[in-house]
Amino acid sequence: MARQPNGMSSLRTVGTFLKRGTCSQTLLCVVNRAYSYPLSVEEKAADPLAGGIMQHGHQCGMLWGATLAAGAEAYRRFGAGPRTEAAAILAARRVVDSFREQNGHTDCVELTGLNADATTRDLIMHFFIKGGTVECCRMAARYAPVVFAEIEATLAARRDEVPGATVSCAAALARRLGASELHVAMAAGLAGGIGLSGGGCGALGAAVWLAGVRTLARGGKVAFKSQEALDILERFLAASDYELECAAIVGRRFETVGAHAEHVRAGGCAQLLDALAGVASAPDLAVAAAAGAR
Amino acid sequence: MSAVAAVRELALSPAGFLVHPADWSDDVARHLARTGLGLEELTDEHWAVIRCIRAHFVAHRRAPMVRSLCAATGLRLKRIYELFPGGPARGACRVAGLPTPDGCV
Repeated sequence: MARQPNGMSSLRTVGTFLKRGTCSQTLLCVVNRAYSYPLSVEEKAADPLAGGIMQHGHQCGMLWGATLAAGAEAYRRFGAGPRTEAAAILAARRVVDSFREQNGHTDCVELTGLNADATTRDLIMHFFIKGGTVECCRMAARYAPVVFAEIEATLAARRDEVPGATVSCAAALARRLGASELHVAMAAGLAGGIGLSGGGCGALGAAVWLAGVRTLARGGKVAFKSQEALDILERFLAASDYELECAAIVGRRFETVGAHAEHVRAGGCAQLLDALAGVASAPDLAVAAAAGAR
Repeated sequence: MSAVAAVRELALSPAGFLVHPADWSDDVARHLARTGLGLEELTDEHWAVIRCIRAHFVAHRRAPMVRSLCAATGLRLKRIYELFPGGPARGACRVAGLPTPDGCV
């Protein structure tokens, strides 16, 4: 019999959204609680992933939060290792597909439909008729049980093939940053622009999230656009020629977990991972640092 | 009060953002650009970005998404970083007089 989410309801999800303030934190929070496994620091650290990574308009923060939750549950069931990373990526792919099916788009800029050149009529429609950000609350309420079901279905499926040691770019980065095995597993599904979807870089998201976890663990605060997260973003952009999407950076989308694992093992995206890990050797990083200091 | 006196009395957050966005004006933008980012002159490209952010903020009380900003101004993200040290968030939004952002809702 399929497992049922513990205490999850539309009302509770909307309440969580209004209390917590961001879609990314909300999804991670409600799914963790559906598994009776709250992770308050990790949830709060997901704030900068909202707005498609700090208001950049890429994947909806709900997808980042749901993917982190999938990795946490995979770790609880399978422990550390490639099997967990592969399961997290596959679960992430399913939650992305379900989200697209439910909402028509995956990127925040398209979901909110608020371009900077929106007409007055567009704005009136969005805020007074559609309800503005209230629509995001509704989306979260509809989406949370779907996420739980997709995670359950993915983790229950039998998989005989498990790729070699390194599977996920985001997990590999998390290890380099000294993250715990739980955090490595949580980051794993972000690979390939979240579940191999080719969107905003998952390793970037992992770096931003882990920086938040570290800050909170030290007793600091994480803002929606924290200075540390913006520093990480600028290092990344300088190394990626200001491209943020996985498919555009790599030049293709990854069809399988194995194809992505092979890319990582062959040194693909090494310069970006260096930049995210804070290895200040690339000339671009010096340029970025000089620009930031002005 | 003269424009010079007005910019002297601006209340700024520790990160250099306006505490009261209603204090913003073109003169304040020039002042914030000069003192915060070291920009002695604002070109038409700077103003296109500033006006776009400002219009969105007035309508929605928050910054536009960066992808929307690029689409509306026709500028690549790289160009916006070249124009505003600190990029859209720490550079352009600050000059456009936005407060420090804190979340979606």
